[in-house]
Amino acid sequence: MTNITHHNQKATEKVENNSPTQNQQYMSSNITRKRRGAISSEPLGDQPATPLPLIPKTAETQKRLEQALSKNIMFNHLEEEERNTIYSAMDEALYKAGDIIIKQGDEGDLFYVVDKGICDIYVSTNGSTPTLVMEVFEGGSFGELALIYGSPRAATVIARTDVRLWALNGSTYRRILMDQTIRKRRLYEEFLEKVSILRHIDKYERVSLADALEPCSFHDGEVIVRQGEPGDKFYIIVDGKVKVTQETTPGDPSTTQVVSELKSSDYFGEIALLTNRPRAATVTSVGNTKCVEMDRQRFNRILGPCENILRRNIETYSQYINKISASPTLASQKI
Amino acid sequence: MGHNNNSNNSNNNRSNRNQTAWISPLSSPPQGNVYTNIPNSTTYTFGSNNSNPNNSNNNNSNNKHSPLTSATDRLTKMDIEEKWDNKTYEKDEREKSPVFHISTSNFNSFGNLKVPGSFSLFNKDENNKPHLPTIPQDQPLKEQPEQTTSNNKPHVSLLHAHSTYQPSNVKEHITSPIYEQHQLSTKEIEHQKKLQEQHTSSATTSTTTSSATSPTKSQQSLQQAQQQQAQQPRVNTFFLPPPQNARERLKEFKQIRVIGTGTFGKVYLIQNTKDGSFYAMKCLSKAYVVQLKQVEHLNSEKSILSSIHHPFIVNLYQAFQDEKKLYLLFEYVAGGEVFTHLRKSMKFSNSTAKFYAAEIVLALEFLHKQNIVYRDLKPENLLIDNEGHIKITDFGFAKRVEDRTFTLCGTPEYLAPEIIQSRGHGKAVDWWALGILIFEMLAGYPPFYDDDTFAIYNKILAGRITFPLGFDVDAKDLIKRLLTADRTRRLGALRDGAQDVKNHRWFSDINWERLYQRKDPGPFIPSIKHEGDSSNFELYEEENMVDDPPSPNYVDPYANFFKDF
Repeated sequence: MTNITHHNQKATEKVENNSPTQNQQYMSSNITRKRRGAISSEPLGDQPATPLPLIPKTAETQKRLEQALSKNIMFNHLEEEERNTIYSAMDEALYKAGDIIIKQGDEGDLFYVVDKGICDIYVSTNGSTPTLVMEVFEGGSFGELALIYGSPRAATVIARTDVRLWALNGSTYRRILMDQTIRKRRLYEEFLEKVSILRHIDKYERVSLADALEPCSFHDGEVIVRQGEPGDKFYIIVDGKVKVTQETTPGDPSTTQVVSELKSSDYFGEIALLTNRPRAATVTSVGNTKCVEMDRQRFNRILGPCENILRRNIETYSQYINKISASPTLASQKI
Repeated sequence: MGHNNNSNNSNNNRSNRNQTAWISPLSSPPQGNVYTNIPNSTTYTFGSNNSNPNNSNNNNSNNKHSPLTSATDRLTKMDIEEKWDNKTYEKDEREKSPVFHISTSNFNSFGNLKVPGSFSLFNKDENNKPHLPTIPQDQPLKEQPEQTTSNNKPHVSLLHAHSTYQPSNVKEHITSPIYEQHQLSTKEIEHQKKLQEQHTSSATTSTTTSSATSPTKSQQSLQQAQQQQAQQPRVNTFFLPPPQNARERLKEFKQIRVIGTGTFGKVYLIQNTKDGSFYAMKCLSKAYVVQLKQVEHLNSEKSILSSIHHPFIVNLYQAFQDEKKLYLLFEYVAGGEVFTHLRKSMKFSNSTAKFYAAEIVLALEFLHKQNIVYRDLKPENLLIDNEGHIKITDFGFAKRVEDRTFTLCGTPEYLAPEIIQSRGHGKAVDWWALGILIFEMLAGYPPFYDDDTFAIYNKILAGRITFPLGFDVDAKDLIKRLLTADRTRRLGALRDGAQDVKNHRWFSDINWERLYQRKDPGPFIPSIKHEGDSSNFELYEEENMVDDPPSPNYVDPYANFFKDF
């Protein structure tokens, strides 16, 4: 449990050492010869639905937290909404100079970000007197292990000066992530239910698909798919609007017509799941949009070829096969 | 089945007890030994037209019922029969001393009776799991390079090939070629599967043999059909119901020594005082389990192990509790942990690691098919039996999961990225762990290692693996494909599941059928000098397995948590 910068250093150290030396190092270390114990966080299933702490942050604080946690592996994979919920759940903790914030060996469930002040980290190995191993300045953090599971603290942290910290409870963090993941997945499943080309997948397949959708976002005016270009990806709109336009004479921009406008829960580009034939229209983002995408190769890895899924129902199958083989210039064609 | 919904556990378990292993073909037990305790049981067969449902009901032999109706007929009959059998069993139990009828050590791994009291190295009771005998000449097995027996002479059981036990008292019918191949239609197989799955959770069996004259033809072919399909879900036919009195039951065993500290408890080597067979007993203190919030995990462990059965998974025989502790009675696997052997020999050869990895692949395939995710794969949880095969142990984190679960658990070096990032995880984590395991077996150390636990997680998420020199090229490729953070690319987590892993070129010289049937011994036979030899296990601090009973007015504060244990 050390400052995040310390971790990053270790992780990026190039381990060039191959065969015997590394093995010897590993084998000679006492820790490695011991059987490794397992770890576990509490099962989250039966938790009573206590409301999450909600402590609104000023814009400035928000920015500082963003900066502090941008490289933290426990936060950089989160989406903006999740991050904001987490920031709101962080509680202020004040300590005077000389206070012990964390003691080595204690049960620990809190993760701290230093807002103001300096903290010192001491580690005592095998009962020896604690030695200073690291200092944590503004923007630094400690106690990450609590986010993953509650475990005895690996070090003692003492405030060198008066400090102002933001504390996040590990179980709160996990709950936020779990809630968000479940909520998003349900949303995607609902979206997927509406996609007619995927009408005949079963629940388990839909869930696997929902899990594999990748979020993507577009700014105003950005072209998502372009008419005439080969297509690999299928999109569902989560948030925002898009404009579908088509050149009735391909290659002649003056014949551009607006075909339709799509909004949240609408989808486009699903033919890409079957084939990469050229896109039938252009889709442009109106304002900022958030979508989720899936490409054909990924789809095939998870569910097998889309064609096989279509074959489950001969009507749907012929409908789509005809669509593909028909001319792509009709305005009513799906993209 | 109607009475399955009856949540009376002991009732279901008792019916289970009445059915001896479906591979036990004897009409009557051999003379003069403990087998006399085996109560009569009935034959239940499904999915076939021409079987004899039981001795007293011989009327339908030539009825061309559809498999479905004959099966349901039999279900209703079983309903009635079991209730009848239950009554006799209860009567027996009250009259006799509490010796459980299946002294499981009397069956060796393949469910064949062994000569009691023999200490031959290969008649170990560690491997007491029934196994389907197959009739090789009828089986469409894959091309096997060395066919040790000629095709005319049927050999009894595939594993017996390596046993010194002479199966003289096994009836001829088991090897007799009079049973013609009866190919079950897929529909019948499907139905059979469905029925089995229904029974899996309540631990009643759907296929059993009896002490009737012979396994019926359809049953044999059923078993063959089962074999043909890779590893059907198989119920744990050896699981016994909880004893009437836990303390009395515990008194039947003598504690030898502590042979392991499981994740949240101790494991003892014990010996049954009545017949001298050895077992492993895992004891956990209820207070400790509740304090560490592992109640759900423990109930899950017991519920899963009591219902599954697989050659490469350690067998659970019984689960019970007293006022303060929980007890799980397992088969004793004398060869020790893979962990010990791996550390001793620094690393394993390519072929050794491949053998163990392949057996684990089969076990994972089996578990995943039943929507069970194991979540604690590591060398410490793999035991080696007397024939050198793997036995996966410690199901403390195993869970039936439809698709996602969120509780973080596992061992730091083996955690998949999605577990660390609290995104919810599923069966794919077992395949990641397999990648770590294969690397560790071949290199001697895990790919992501650091003194600081959090740094391990950093490395896992960064995903950079450095292979030592001389690493097998195919193994390297497989490991890379298993250690993929993207679950839509991870081998084993794709559409074809375990089959993708089995088809990988590192496993190209593995014959999966043979492996599953344990035809060839493992690459390393542990030194086991006698049945209760525990020299392959490390020394631990000793502790009494059984404590003195608490005062009579002690009320178990945790009784509620372990109601279904």
